[in-house]
Amino acid sequence: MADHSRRYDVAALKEALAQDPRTAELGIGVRIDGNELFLEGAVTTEHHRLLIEAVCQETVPGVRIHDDIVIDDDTAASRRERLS
Amino acid sequence: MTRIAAVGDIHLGVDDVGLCRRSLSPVVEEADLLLLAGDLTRIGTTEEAAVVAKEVGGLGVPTVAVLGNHDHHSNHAPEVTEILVEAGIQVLEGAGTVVDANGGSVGVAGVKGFGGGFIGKCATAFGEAETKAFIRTTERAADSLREALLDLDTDVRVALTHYSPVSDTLRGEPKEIYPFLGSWLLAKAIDEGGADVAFHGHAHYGSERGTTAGGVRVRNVARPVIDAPYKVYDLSLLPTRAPEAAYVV
Repeated sequence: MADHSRRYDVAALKEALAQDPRTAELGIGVRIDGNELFLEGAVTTEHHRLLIEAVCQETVPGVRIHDDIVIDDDTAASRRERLS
Repeated sequence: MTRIAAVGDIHLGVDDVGLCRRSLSPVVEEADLLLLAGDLTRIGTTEEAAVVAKEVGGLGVPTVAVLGNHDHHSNHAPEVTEILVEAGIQVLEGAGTVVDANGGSVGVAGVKGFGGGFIGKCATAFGEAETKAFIRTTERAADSLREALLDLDTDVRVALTHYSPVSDTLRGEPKEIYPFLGSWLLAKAIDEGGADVAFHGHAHYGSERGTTAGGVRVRNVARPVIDAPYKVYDLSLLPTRAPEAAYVV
């Protein structure tokens, strides 16, 4: 597959991640280099991260996924700032 | 001192029961009110709204929210709002509310807002009907925010939006999408309405801090930006800024 068509794959994948109700993600970073798919961003749960991978496999079958998506740390303490 | 906790973009889905209740619970000890800056759900269904109500309702502090674009996706924003309100969460859309906080009064004016971009790099209500409708939507949101702020007679005035009023807090996002992340018209309303501080969400990969042209502090409290269940802002109960002269009648 020529490289230029991968750009359309990125567009199709971004659209699928936004429109698929399992993901509804507008902010996941997507890059495809040959047969390698790179993902980055942050989501709330591991389950959601896996759903994103599933949508990727369905939309761009056969790619190898490199998933750098991080899970929000829900055990983190709250933070403070003083505004005066 | 008024302690305002804020977070946006918690994006709860139907499978997320129990996800954030425990991490939000300390807010009752740490803050006088909790602000939710929109995108509380993934796709804005009533089922997801019920999860939000269960996770965020009844935390023991006054809780004030605006909806975000995700909360509108299923075209059930009125029903989503109703479910949140039943759970004790105030949902503002071009309106204000007053909270008694630690001996002072805090007024919150909220609106979802919309896009359009920022000064010098923004859309104008010109040409096709669709373009005009896009910008008119933002103009109406900004106008309602300004009016809601001006109606507040409180010690502190807070503006709460989902979309960003400034580009400062978008640093980190691709510049090409800034027009879909906010509008300068919201900042103008914040300045003219005499807000003391403004909170927004929406820009997950943006930055936390910014200011309007009028010097009002703006904070992007999107969950991925603050990297915490919520952030608490300690505000001195300073006299509320006078609205800009052009809007004093």
